[in-house]
Amino acid sequence: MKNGVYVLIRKELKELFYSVKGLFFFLAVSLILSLFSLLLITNTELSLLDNAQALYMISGIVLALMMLISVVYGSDAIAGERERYTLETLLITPLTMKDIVTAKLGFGVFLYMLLFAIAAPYIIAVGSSGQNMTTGLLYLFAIGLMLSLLYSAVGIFVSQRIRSFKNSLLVNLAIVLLSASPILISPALRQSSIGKIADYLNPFADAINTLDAVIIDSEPFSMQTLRLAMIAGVTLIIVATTIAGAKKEAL
Amino acid sequence: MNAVNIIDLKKSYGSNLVLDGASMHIKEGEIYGLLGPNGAGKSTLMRIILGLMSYDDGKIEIFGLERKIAAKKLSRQINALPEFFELYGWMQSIEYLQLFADLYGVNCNETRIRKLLAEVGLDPFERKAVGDYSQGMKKRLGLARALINDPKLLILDEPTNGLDPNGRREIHDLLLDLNRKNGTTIILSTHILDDVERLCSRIGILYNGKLRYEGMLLQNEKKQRYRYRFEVADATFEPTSCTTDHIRFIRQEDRWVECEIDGIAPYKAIQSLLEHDIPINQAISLAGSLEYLYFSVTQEEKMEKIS
Amino acid sequence: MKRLILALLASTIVSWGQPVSITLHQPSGTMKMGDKPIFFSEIVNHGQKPLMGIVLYLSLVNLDKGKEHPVDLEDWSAQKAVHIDMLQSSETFRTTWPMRLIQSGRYGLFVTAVLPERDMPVTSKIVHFDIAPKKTIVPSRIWPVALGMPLMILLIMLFIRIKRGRRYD
Repeated sequence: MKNGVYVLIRKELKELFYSVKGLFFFLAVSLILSLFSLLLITNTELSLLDNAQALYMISGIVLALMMLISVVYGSDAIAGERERYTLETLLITPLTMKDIVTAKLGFGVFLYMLLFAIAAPYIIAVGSSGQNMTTGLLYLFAIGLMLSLLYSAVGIFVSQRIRSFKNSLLVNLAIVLLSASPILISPALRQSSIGKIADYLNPFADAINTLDAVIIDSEPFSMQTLRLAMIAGVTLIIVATTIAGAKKEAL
Repeated sequence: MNAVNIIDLKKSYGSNLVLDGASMHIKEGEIYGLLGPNGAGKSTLMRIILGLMSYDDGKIEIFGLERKIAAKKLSRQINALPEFFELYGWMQSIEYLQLFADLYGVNCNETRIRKLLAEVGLDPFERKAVGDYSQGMKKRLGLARALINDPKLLILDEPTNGLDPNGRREIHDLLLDLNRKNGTTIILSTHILDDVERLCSRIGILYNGKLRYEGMLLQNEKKQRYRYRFEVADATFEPTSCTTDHIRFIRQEDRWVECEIDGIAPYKAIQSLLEHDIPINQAISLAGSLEYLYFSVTQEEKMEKIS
Repeated sequence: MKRLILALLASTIVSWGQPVSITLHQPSGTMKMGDKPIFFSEIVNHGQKPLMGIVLYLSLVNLDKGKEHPVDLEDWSAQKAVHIDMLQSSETFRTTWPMRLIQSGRYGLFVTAVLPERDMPVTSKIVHFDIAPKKTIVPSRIWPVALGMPLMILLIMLFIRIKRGRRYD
């Protein structure tokens, strides 16, 4: 007997390819990365960047795209199925809401893997003659994996509680903006003790700072453990809360 | 054994009481018609039976098992066709049914899926994207999906909505066949009383969150039997003279004569009486048919409420 | 260019009469793009009195033939100026100048000291060095990926569309 979660992930995967619209998203992703790569070789200022700097920048773009994909997918995961009248038929089956949420989370991570697979050739093309490319790739993969799980979980958590996809997406985009906001404020403010604490508590800031540390500053793994632990910890808490809070009655 | 026992079920959304102590007993192997006006609580009740909704108070047993406790086991034995549902437009019908076969964990090969598609009349369209299906075709595929796990209890919400008369007849035959061959218990919620008359052995009428009527759908309700009161112009009229093969005299009060019409439409009966020179001034429907029963239960409640 | 060199020479000659002298040292070994060498300077007070409020700053000049121009240190060094509150008589003050080598070519680097009570600045000798070019982002590697990836995804989409007969959504 096939596991329901596996069956549902397989269905999502088929939908991604067969509905074609899923692939449009990845076409857009590859076009954004192509544009950035071409800017690196054609723009005078960007062309002065050394490989590590370019690698760090493209990693940041990949993480930002991952956040966007994860929350859009997460927002649609439950609210979208409900709006399209496809959720009820799934819930009538022996699948529990926890199974559905787990499958959606699993597929959210798969989407990141696909994004990473598309981004990897760009990263290699940009960073292969510079320092820390392999390390950077490994860190980006691991951190992106955790963050995709985290942001998919946040998206699904909101999607379960807000009935329309549009409103769910709005709330989730606000969350993404909030979590990215420390990166936007000036480095001087982030150097204050409160700024440092806020940076440390924010998994997205942790991710960006870790990539900066390993790619640009060549810091060893031992200096990243606290930040990585923070990302893993927050991810674990949010994922557990999302799965635990999944109920059929939420329909 | 009863397939479904619902005892004193209560459910409210905030201050809005939707089910107010509804009780219902559905026997194994019967086709039960669940009737009631919009907002009576039918959909809520069906969702609760399906485990898609919690309830505030009361008890639900399905095949002797408590709904809440044996949720997973019961969901393998139950299936349903919701009133509003959509298909995954990018799929083909075979893929759609295979998906649900896998979700139910039933071993379902392509031959069995094709047989199901043939039963609902979709076999010529098995490779067509379901996004291109008409409303009726979607309904049929939805029904095929609802049969994928050979359910012991099948809950159907407006299953013939959007179907043409031929399609309706085919679904009727399919459901009767299913009930006869497999002993599948079917709960049918619909506003199409003709469906109920054709399919159901028992009915329940839900109104304002309570079951106002539950009983066998009697032959007289199934066989188009009506009770009428006629006003005749002549008080000396001999009432027994109106008795024919299809009209039976019951009683007379002054110029009012009460008759039962059996087997023909009321207008034909009136026509026949007029042809026999019976001086009818007016005719008032008193009873008969499921429609009459439905209106009498729901209107009576409404009148009580108004008064 | 000639004017720039003459100005530098003039400032060096004038500095002979100054109470301070500056020397700038470059790290050993060859340098290439992307390297982060650390230069250091020493300023010595030869006078009898302490000097107050000295400002030291770094200047970089590109000396490639035909491309001679002062370089904006924005990307090259985070430390562009140092303020010395007080330099006692005979005291030496060392400053490190971490650099990040952005572009290849021949360069001249020097440190200038401005003393508040003096009209003329004091400069170190120019340290000449070459920055070897290093392949950073290689266009021949970028182009195939930048064009190939979107094209590949488009082809996959087209293949699926043909295989499934039409686009379903």
